[in-house]
This record gives sequence, C-alpha cells and structure tokens, in this order.
Amino acid sequence: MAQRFLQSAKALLPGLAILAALAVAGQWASAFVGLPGPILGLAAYLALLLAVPAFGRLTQPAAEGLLKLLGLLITPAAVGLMLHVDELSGEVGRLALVVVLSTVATGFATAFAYKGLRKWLG
Amino acid sequence: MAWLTDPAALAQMAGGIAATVLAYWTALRVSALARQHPLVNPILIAALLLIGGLALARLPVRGYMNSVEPLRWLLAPATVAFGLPIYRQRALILSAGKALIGAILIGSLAGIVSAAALAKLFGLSGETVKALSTKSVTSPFAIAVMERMGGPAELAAGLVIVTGLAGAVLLPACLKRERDRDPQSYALALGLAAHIVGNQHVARVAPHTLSIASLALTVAGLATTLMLPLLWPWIAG
Repeated sequence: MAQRFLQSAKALLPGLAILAALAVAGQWASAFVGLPGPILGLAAYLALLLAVPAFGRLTQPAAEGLLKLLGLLITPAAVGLMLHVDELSGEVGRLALVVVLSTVATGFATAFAYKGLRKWLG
Repeated sequence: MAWLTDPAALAQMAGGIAATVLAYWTALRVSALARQHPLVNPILIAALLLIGGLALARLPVRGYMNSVEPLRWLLAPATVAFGLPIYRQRALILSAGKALIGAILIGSLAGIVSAAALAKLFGLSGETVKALSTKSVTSPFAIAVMERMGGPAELAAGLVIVTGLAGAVLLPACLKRERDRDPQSYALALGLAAHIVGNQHVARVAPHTLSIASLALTVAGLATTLMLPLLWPWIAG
C-alpha cells in the first residue's frame, strides 16, 4: 500500500512540477502580454507538447489528475458567492433570470452555430 | 507568508481543506447514486453542504475562503493541464478547425451581448451589468478582464460559477437531442456556456469529447478578452 502510494507519487511529481512551473512562467509573462497567466501557461504547455511529444507521457498522470480535481478546486468559489448576498439582495430574482436565459441562449447559439458552420464549410 | 509559522492558521487551513474534500467526496457519491443526473451536480451539492456546515457551526465565510487559499493555487496548473486534451485531439481540431473557431466566436459574442442586454432590460445596477458581461468565460479570464477594465472582479468570479452551474444543470435538458446524436456540438455548447463546470460535466458523461469542451473554454476566454474592451462603452454606458 505504502509502496503503491510512493510509486503513484513518483509518477505525478515531474508532471506537477512542470505544470506548476508553466503556470508561474505564465503569471510572470502576463505582465507584458496582457493575457491571464494560466492561459499563457496553457499555450506554452501546448507548444511544448507539439514540439516534444515525450512531454505528454511525462506530464500525463499529473494533468489528468488535476483535471479530475477541477470540481473540488472551484467549489470554494461557489461558497464565496455568499459574501455578496447582501449587495445583491435587491436584485437576486432578476439576476437569476438573466443568468438562466443568457446561459441557455449562449449554449443554443454555440451548438447551432457549429452545426450550421460545419454544413456550410463542408 | 506569516501563516507558515502560525500553528493556528495552519490548523485552520487543514480544517478548511479537509472539510472541502469531505464535502466534495460526499457530493461525488450522491451524484453517482443519482447516476450523474445533471440536477445532482457535485459542485453544487458540495457548495451547499459547506454553506450549511459553516452556518451550523457559526463560522464566517471569509475565514473559510482564506483557509482554502492553497486550493486556489492549484487552479492555475489545472488550467494549464487543459493543454493535454487539446493536444490529443489535434487531428480533429485541425480538420474541423474553421467551424469550431467560428462557432466559438459566435457563442462568445452571444454570451456577452445576451447577458448585458438582458441585465439592462431588467434594470440591474451598473456594477452587476459589468460583472455579468464576463459570465461566459472561466474565472482566470473573468478576473483578468475585470481588473483591466476596472469592473467588479470578485463578483464576476462568483457569477461565473453560478453560470457554470446553471449551464451544467439546464443545458443537458435543453440539448438532449444533441447529446445523443451530435456529441461534438453538445460538448462545444457546454464547454462554452458553462466553462469549467461544463467541462467537468462533459468529462463525466462523454469523456471522448472533452477536448472540444476544453477548446471552447480556452478559445472563448481568449475571444472575450479581446472583444470585451470593444463592447465596454456599451456595457458600462
């Protein structure tokens, strides 16, 4: 059990270190480029994967692990909305309606734009 | 970094993270019992459990938010990790690239315009209209854009999550036909309109299309970052 844990930790660590380094590098570069740091890190990771395919195998366990954990990582942001309940108290109902209508409209627009464009562009 | 040497702060951090992990694990079990029904979204259930728990224990939400800071640090490498599913599906993306990118641009514009126009129509306050304009992009983008334009960043980040939850709960019912017959359109719509929560939903119900949802999340973020400054006079006006 302990050995298996050590083995999976060993598989995760290089990937975690690389992804964290890319995130930090992106954060640093974002001051000059004006795009969010994590997105610059994503672009750099994609470029690295295309240039050196071996990076895929090295980082795969960490990348897949982090993507699986995504739900856990954003749960606090949902809890944090409680901090804004007071300032929104007068408009919660209308706000909810706007979010629901606009989100459904955005989803429909995206799905049907893709269907249409796919047919049109062949 | 004063908290590193402060045992009370460290204990609070461990408690906050342990509570979040426990709530999320419970939510995953409940979601599995409900056979991944979209209404039983694990993030929604975990958040409700935590809000209820904090209220019962009479603990302040602000203290909880400070204690789970390390989870937020992991969000940046997790965003970087989206490079892997995009890389794996590069053949598909190259073959359907124009239609995919075109649909993502149209969807992003629809996201900004529908949110701001409806918010103005319903007479919401100026700050709320601004915060709603980034609701269709994932948090790192929304925060970065808001800080650049001088809008309410924290509120925008909260509305991003509500939007993601609304999309991951409602869109599966609205786009039921697409889910069965055209999984690519389904993944694209969820990845764009419900960003991270939508991606997480797609990863659970249709993992083979996750790359499309990831592409939608990333490109929509870039498109909105570039388009929003042009629309800002109308949004803020």
